[in-house]
Amino acid sequence: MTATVQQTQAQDRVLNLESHTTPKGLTFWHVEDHSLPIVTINFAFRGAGSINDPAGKDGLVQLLSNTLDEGAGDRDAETFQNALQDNAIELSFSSDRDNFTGKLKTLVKHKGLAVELLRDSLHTPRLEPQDVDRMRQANISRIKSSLAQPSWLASRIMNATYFAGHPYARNSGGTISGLQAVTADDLQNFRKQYFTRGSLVIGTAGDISADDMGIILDQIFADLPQGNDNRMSGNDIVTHIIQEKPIAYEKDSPQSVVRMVWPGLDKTDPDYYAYRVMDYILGGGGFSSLLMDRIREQKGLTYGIYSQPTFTNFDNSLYIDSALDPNNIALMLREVDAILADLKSTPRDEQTVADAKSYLIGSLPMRFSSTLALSGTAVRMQLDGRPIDALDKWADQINAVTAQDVQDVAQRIFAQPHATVTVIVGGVPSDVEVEKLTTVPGVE
Amino acid sequence: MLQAAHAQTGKIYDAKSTVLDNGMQVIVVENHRTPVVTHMVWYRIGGADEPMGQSGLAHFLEHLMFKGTETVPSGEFSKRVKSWGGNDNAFTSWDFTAYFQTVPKDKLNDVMTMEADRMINLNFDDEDALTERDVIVQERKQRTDSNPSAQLSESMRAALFVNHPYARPIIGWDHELQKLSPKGGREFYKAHYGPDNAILIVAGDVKAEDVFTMAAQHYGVIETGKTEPRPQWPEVPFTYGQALVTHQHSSVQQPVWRRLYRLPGAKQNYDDYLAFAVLEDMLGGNTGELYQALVVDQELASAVQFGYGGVSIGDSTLSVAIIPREDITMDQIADAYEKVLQDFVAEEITPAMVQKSVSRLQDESVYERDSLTGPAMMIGYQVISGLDLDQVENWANALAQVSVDQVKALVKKYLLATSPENSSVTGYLLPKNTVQQ
Repeated sequence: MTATVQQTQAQDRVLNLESHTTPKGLTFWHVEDHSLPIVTINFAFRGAGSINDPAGKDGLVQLLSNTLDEGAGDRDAETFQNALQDNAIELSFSSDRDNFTGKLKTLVKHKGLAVELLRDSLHTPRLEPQDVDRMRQANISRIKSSLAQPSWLASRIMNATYFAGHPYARNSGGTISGLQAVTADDLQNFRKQYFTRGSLVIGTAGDISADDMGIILDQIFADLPQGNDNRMSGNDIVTHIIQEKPIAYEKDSPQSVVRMVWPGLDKTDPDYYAYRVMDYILGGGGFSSLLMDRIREQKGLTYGIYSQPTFTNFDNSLYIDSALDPNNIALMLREVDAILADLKSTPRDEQTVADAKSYLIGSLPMRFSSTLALSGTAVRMQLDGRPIDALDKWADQINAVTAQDVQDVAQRIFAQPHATVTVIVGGVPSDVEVEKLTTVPGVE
Repeated sequence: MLQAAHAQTGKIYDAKSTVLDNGMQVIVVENHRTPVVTHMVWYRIGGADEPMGQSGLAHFLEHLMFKGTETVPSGEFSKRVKSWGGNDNAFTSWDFTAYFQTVPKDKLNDVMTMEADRMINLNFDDEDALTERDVIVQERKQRTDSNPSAQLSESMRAALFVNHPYARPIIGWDHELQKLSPKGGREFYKAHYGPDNAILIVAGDVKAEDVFTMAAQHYGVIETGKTEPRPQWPEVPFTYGQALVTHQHSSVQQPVWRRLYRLPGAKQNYDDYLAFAVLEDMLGGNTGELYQALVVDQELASAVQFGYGGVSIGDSTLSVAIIPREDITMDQIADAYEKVLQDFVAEEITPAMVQKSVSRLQDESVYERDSLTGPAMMIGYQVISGLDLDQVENWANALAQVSVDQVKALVKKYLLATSPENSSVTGYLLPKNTVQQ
């Protein structure tokens, strides 16, 4: 039996993650693991995300990610999909604001075909008009369906407000008119420009040696043009403007979704580890968190309230999300203010800090219980610019955080008395002064 | 080694099983990939067993199980698991209530101590329980009352399972949920929680024999025979007419056509259960007949879903959802859907086509093991629904017996509008003030 993940004791690796170079010069991080006859490949074209959607064509990158597996090489859409399906090959592409990503999972016995299908989808996708149109319709349906979901609306309004003036304010999943304007040629042109070796990041795992994997990766990726690393091209770091009053969008619903945001820290910040401990204590730790304990367990105001840090190329932020009766929102906002004020003014007791650190260290191996999780982590770490031994150093760096560090970072993040932006979707409270919004931006 | 065992026996999980002296079943799936273990206890009691008028009680009790014993105060259970680097949660269905924790392997003994403790020593106070009821009221508002699609699902199910407790939402009807009492929770707990009414499943970096020994120490010592048998569920009668639930909501901009069928569960008809997996594969998904006909060829729809519910103690369900393209009516979708079923029965289906589905499902079963919690979850669902472990393990092998005739027979018997045993409800999710066609 292969012990892929070691217990986090001194000197042991958390993960047997190794950096390799293919015969044709591609770098990849690999975890060899023979426990199951499965091979996975995750990859990203860094910087090739929806941030590059041309004006008036919002959704181009999203649509490309849906259409690449709709026929390629000498296979039309139906033949291509059947080849995947009949051989239990799981191939999918997706995009976010920053990056274009893909993942492949196959049994060892179907590896040859899987490699061929991935290679074809990147180099010779058909992108036939009828297939593009079918995916366009599916995306428009998805957007229309999302309009019934309060949490989706809250995120959409938050992005449009919090990132105003920056490309991040746009809808990364596309708009209805934007999707309608995208042509098959647009998709081919984007692929040719952005799918480059210069922006390629690869993570692999499973029942295969690094040498054999290198040969496969060359077959898939080596013939891509060198191109550039598009990571930070032409955009600026987001600057935020404080929105004094909550933005409210009214909907026929017995509850309201509330979403709040503060500018956060990036992963290279000296306070990063203290920030993670602070987030866990505040609202990342489920029932152990201050927010859940006070607002759910003691007051019964909500089913859930959580904090969550996000990390992207041009912005890092900390969100708090909840859903509750509109007439309890004022109380909840006061409670959140009080919790944040206390976090800033009073150091946490030693046990609280120790428990948070214990979770953040002890839970690390749980992330690695599937083959795709291994290769996915390998890509994520590279996208984040982390060194290959970052996981091995995690425990020591978390352990070094003190109660004072937690208090300091809370003072840094929550310097302003209220959230930078607060969004309310659903019933609008009568006892909170809000700015009402009547249309949701970035949909039509 | 794992791989070799799998290749030789064709078993999906290669689980080990024993029964403790007090009747509690213990199942272990060894998985040595990470130094982590998932520990689950499943009780044979759920939402379908609640007394009339107390819908939501089983789920309320699930929440109350975190509200303390003499040795583990209210709220402490999850906090301790977290402080070990673990995660925990629980879930309730009509047939069962299950609790699980994933922890570093050296904490297995500690979670077992706490789970065995709350199997018999639950002791919450009323005020705490009533605050928790407020939380569940909010949970219902979040999951159902703010979600038009979930509202339609709830109503369709209520119309499908006439006279049967499967008609009730697990979270409870709002007016009944608001009146659930701490006393009711306590009585339900005393009547139904005990080792003879529970299954333990452990998956992870452990040896089965060690888990059996540990389980005997913690669970094996609990006195048995104190639980009451679960209530007998009434049967669904024949009802006249074809049920249609139309739900219009101001938030809806994308209409959806739905159908929910009532069908035999895995325990009632294992052969049908196997054949449904193949049918689901042939009709559903982006390579299935429905997608090809409605989305690709006729361009009437932008997406289809076709999913068999599978295991359950009582009747199971098959759920169909079709998203029409703009200006396509619900009637056009219904007619096109029916035509696909008719064609499927009428056209020649070769054994090779069935074999293709079977072989793909068999390949995919290898992926089932590529997870820590997944196998414990899948085994739990099936065993609690009355399948034995051998059936669970040999599912992929047994699929090979499914024939063309069997798959077609399912459509003829249950799914066609004219089928003798068609028991179904159709649902429309529509924008507000839609004019009916």
